[in-house]
Amino acid sequence: MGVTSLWFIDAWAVYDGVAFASRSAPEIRGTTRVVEAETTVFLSVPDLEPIPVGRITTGLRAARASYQDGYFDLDGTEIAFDTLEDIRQSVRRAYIACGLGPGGAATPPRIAPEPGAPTAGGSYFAGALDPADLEPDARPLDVVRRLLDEEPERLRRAVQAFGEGVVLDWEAALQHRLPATEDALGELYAVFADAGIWPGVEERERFVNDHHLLAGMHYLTERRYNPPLNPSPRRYSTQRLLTVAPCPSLPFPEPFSRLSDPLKLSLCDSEYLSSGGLAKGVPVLLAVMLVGVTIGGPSTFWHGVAQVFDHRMRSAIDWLERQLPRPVVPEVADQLLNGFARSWLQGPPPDLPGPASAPPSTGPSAGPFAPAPSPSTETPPEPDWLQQVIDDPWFTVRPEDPPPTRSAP
Amino acid sequence: MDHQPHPGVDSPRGASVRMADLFPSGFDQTYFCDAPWSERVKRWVADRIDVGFSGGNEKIVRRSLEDSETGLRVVVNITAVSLLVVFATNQYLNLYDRPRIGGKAPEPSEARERVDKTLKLGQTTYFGAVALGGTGVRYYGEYCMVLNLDQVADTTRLFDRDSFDILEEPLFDLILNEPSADPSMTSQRIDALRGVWGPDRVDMAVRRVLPELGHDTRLVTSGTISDAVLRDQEFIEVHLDGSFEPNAIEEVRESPDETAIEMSLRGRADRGIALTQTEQEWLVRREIVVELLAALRIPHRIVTLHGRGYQWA
Repeated sequence: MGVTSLWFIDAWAVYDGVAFASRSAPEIRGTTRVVEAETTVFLSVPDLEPIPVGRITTGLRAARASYQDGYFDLDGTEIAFDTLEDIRQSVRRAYIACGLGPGGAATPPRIAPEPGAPTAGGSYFAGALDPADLEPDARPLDVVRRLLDEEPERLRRAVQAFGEGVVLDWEAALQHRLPATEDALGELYAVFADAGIWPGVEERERFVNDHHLLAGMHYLTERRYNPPLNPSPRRYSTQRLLTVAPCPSLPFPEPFSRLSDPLKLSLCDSEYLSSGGLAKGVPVLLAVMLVGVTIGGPSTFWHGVAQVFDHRMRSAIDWLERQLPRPVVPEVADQLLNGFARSWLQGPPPDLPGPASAPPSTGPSAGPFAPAPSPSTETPPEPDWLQQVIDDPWFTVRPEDPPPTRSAP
Repeated sequence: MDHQPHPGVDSPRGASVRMADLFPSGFDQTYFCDAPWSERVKRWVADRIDVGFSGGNEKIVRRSLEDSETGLRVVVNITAVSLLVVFATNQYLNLYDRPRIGGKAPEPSEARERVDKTLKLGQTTYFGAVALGGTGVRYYGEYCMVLNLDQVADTTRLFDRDSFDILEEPLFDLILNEPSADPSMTSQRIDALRGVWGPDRVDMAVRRVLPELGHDTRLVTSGTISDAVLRDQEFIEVHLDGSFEPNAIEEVRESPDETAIEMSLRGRADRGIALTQTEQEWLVRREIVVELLAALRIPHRIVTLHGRGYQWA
């Protein structure tokens, strides 16, 4: 390998986490001598392990097949990487980033909350926080770790309050009931119960009854959901539930469309968790507790509920820290990745199908690129939009239904 | 260039005088010539007329490739989000006509421009591969769209290899690299590697498959034929003149490799092992695609590279 050799992205399917990359002398890029690259590899999610490709032309041709042609900065200069690991991280971060926001790729659309206006769930969460714990300038994970070590009860309470805020917001959005929506919310209740968000059955039943949460009462009280004794078959994976559950909105740090957004943003924006304190840390922690904790460790049969919950929080933080992005070199690539994530938070690119600002969604009943125009976030959803969601074949068509046409949904 | 006589070329079966001039002597003159593809197959068989199973194999290969129900198809590999976009927009498009992250190159890649110019490829050219079963070229997308036979025009152009191969030696020196490449020969050499879907697809594929077989000892089976038609990144390229709609898709195929990875991850998750965010995201997107294809009643099958799944599914 020559001392001047660097890594370049030959072709990149940004939304799908696959790319071709070559190591070569910079001066031959863009010319017909590009085929003299020293090596070419193929990277693909989920593991992004480099697979050697015999010739770079395989990668160059990929721009004819759903790949972006190379990777350039905004001035048109091709971005060179010192290491393949930086390219792997770039591919991974962009892949996660395009699942963000109201119209994330391959995720149902969800309303973007009004900036600065807390939702009911957000206000509920904010009311449970002790202002002394917020530490908005501190690294969120530092605050979370400190509380976990020193005052775990306060952290438990914050996580529980945020989880309760999620179901408060989702129940409030259930004015237009769809079976799939209720099922999804019911499953979220079950997932919360499994994760120990409520210390016990009495606490969770009291919560749903006190707030008159109809779906919660139905699933938790009437059905007597009891995870250890009566595990229910699940229709949605927990990861998928996170993409359709709302994220309680606070005036700070910023509003999110989905419960998965803070988690994904922390994994694709290298600066997101550099400050923000507890208000940022708790939403991420709750999401990770649902998808990032390996079963094992202490059980409630031998240990106290609080001890098990603390173990889950600790495991969640470990899972998150193992995957946190480190800044990619060169810096321009890191900034582009952060900007890419931020742009998806605002909505999908305008030339992608589906609304740039998505319609309100009350559950996983709408497709990845929903067909509906977006009403103003200040107006209630129009009946015709609701009908379109109901008619949407992405999630509502069942095998016994007549087949839809193969035209665009 | 030297003209080395070749039994097939100079045989009484009627070789073109010019054919040996197209490519140097080191090239197989029964292949790299300007004769029709059907003639190239005949010459190859004639050269091996005494080799035990060559005639029988030629018949079997041709029969397998010609069958309208189970024979050759155009396949287009596609990534998950691009596949979703096909159904959302009712059209197959290249999502990446402009960069999705970062800026644009100040000028088009010289390499790509020269390939496009040499092969007369335009903005409306869409690319596929010729296949008999299998899952296409995995690198270009984990989902392999198989186009209905009646959706591919007989005039669709074929190229006997990945068009970017002309950037690599030895074709680069013969076709693109001036002054070593004689410009007056460029188009003839390119034409010698071209074909047309209607009249040529079977002969091009037969000619591709026959040299791969063991004609001394046995007859071939269709799994071997499938593998020889499209193996790894070696394929006959299809240049579709324009895009296509979802109703042109006969089925979507996937490799067992992807399914094995998916099952492995789901197995780990079922045992309570936390997957990474990337792994979980990948699984969710696969769920969405599966649900979409089921909702639209588009056959979605897992097939093996060598065609057994294709045969017995």
